[in-house]
Amino acid sequence: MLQRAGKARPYTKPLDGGWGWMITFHFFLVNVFVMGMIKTFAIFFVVLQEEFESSSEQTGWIGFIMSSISYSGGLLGAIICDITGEKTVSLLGALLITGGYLISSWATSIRFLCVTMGLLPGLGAAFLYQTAAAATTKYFKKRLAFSTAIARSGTGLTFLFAPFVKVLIDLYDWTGALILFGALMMNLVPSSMLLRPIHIASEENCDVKNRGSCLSTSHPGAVCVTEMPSCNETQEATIISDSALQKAGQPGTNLIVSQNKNTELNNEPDGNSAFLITDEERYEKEAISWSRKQKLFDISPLKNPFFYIFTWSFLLSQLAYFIPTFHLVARARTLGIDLMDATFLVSVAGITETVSPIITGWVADQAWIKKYHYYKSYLILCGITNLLAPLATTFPLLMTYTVFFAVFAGGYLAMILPVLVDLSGTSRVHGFLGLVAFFAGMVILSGPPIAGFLYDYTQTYTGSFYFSGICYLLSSVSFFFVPLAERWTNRS
Amino acid sequence: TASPFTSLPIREEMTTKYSNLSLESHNISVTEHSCVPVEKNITLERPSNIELICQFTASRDMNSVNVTWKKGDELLENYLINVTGSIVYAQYLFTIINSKQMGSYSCFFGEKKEQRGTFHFKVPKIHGKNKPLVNYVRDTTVLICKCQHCSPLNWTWYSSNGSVQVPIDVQMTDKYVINGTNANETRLKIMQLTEDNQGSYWCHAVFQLGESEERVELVVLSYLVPLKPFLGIVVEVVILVAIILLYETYTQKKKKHI
Repeated sequence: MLQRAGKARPYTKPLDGGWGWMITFHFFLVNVFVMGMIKTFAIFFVVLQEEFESSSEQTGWIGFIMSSISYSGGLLGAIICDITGEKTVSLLGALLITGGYLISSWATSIRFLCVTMGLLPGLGAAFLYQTAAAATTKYFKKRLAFSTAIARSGTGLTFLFAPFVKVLIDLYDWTGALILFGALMMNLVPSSMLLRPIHIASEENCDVKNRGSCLSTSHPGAVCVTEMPSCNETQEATIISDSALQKAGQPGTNLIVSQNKNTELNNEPDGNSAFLITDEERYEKEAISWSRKQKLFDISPLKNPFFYIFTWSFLLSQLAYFIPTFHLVARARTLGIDLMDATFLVSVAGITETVSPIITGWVADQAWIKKYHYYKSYLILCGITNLLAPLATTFPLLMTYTVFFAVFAGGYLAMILPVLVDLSGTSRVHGFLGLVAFFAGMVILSGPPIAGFLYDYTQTYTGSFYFSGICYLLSSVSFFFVPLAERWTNRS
Repeated sequence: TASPFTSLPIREEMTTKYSNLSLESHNISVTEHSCVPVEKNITLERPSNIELICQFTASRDMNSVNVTWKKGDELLENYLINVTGSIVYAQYLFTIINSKQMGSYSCFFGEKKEQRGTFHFKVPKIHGKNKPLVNYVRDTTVLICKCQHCSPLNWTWYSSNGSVQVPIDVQMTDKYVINGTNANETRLKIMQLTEDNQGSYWCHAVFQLGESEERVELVVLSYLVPLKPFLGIVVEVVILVAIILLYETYTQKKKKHI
């Protein structure tokens, strides 16, 4: 798919705009459809339970598998992405979701559905999410938080899916509804085609062991500048001047120098190795095979302290996020608030969560302070809000809690990707994100059971809010270690 | 609340003849100033002895109050009246053993039509599904009727086209199967659905004291029905993909020419 003759040269620098907005649009659609798919499962749950006369625990497994694979599958997606590029994986993801839903309409048992409606769409969702997030980080640098926030605001629209799915089930029964829902997901196919390939002048292998390397654009006289925000300060930008190129050979000849730091190019300053390709046609092939030289399953993030900081915080915050979302309506009901008002709370939360990331993302992009400080503060504020939540016993108080929580939650959700990029470096986003998502998926599995257990044990929903508040506060703790980790990486 | 009536001859007869039946006691309170008749709905499943008591509170002289009991329009006899202070108690004792005795019983105080209390006796209601059941051709579907706190003697199913109810032909065992997991539930399984099977189905619950019915709506769709929107979406996706492909080749050609 990437090797059509006469194709345009892929982009090489983060655009921070231009075609990047198309990527944001695609990410927006991914958020809308994937989140919509996960949230509407609750409606299918009721119908499927009736149809197959199974227990709610058995039927619940489908949703479980779907949610947790949509995180863990990101790792697989990252691996395939390194081989074939983002567009292919995204298309594969969209087709997996559509196929899964179409096959599900012929389901004969819950086990069948666990695979076709849990595993396949979950995997597809993971692929879509992984590629969209990674592509966004490549296309945006200065405006990353803002563009991610716009994309994330798509989740606010998912409240439209619920009535839509209800209508589908009423008109066409669950089999027809699944077929049409799957067809709707096919819209992610043209949207995935918007993911034009981009290869950043990368800081690949930009840890302290190797010196910087870069990929230049093909014609001679190009200046290759590496952008490596998280690199060691001792790295220097590698500039290949015209003179060096002319000495190296005529334009039109291939010059491929191995990635190894021991090889030196003529008159190259400081022994930095360069990787020059002067022939357009072989650009893509070389880039791909070069990345294949890296290990397929890159576990280098595991050696990175920032990885642990981020994963710890991500796990706990995702765990804490789901629980109030699940139990908000139930808590409102136990306080005597009727269903209409309770669903109004949910809509308000949805809308606030749509708007808040955009504002916080824009603020973060102004780079007044480092992004992870924002992230840390939002997590702490979320924690405090949740700990105070049990004090909300009337509708106005509960509404206040909902708004504040939505604002702060939207804030930290917008910052996930930018902070991840800051900690890992643009080129390693795939591996980082894949591994983080993988571990998160394991932990997310425990979220709903813990919430249910808390309720059964305490017979009230306040326990869930306390748990969530504590989780948020704990998740922010790891970020206090960032300066320590920075000093550690600098020293070694 | 204890009945203000002590042992009386009629009651004794009742206790001997229908002593195996339970006694149900119901009260209604009517005041002089009621502008709306007071009503009470009673659900009755099996034969029982019934004691109905109407209590009338007024400020005027009680002895001149004319108390009557009626079932529908029919005047009843054998009722008792007790006057205590400013309250008149009217009691009617009877037994319900079949559906003829079900209905509405009213106690009247004086000539004004508003000063009365009415007891409505009904058999238990059964519940089906209030939304239509949607199925496809050649599918199998199950129509369920349930009764919450009652056990009917018998369940029967009818289908209707318009106003006439036709009993389901249970002999066609490859098409219709009626069974129920417990007494308070019945299931009608219809196999090999066709579009003719579409329409209203009625389940009847037979009690000793009458019948209760409920309607279940069945909709049978052919596969073409969801296929049309499906193809619509597929076409839309194909068009979008084509547009994007054309756009990409166009921009590449432009870049080549530059």
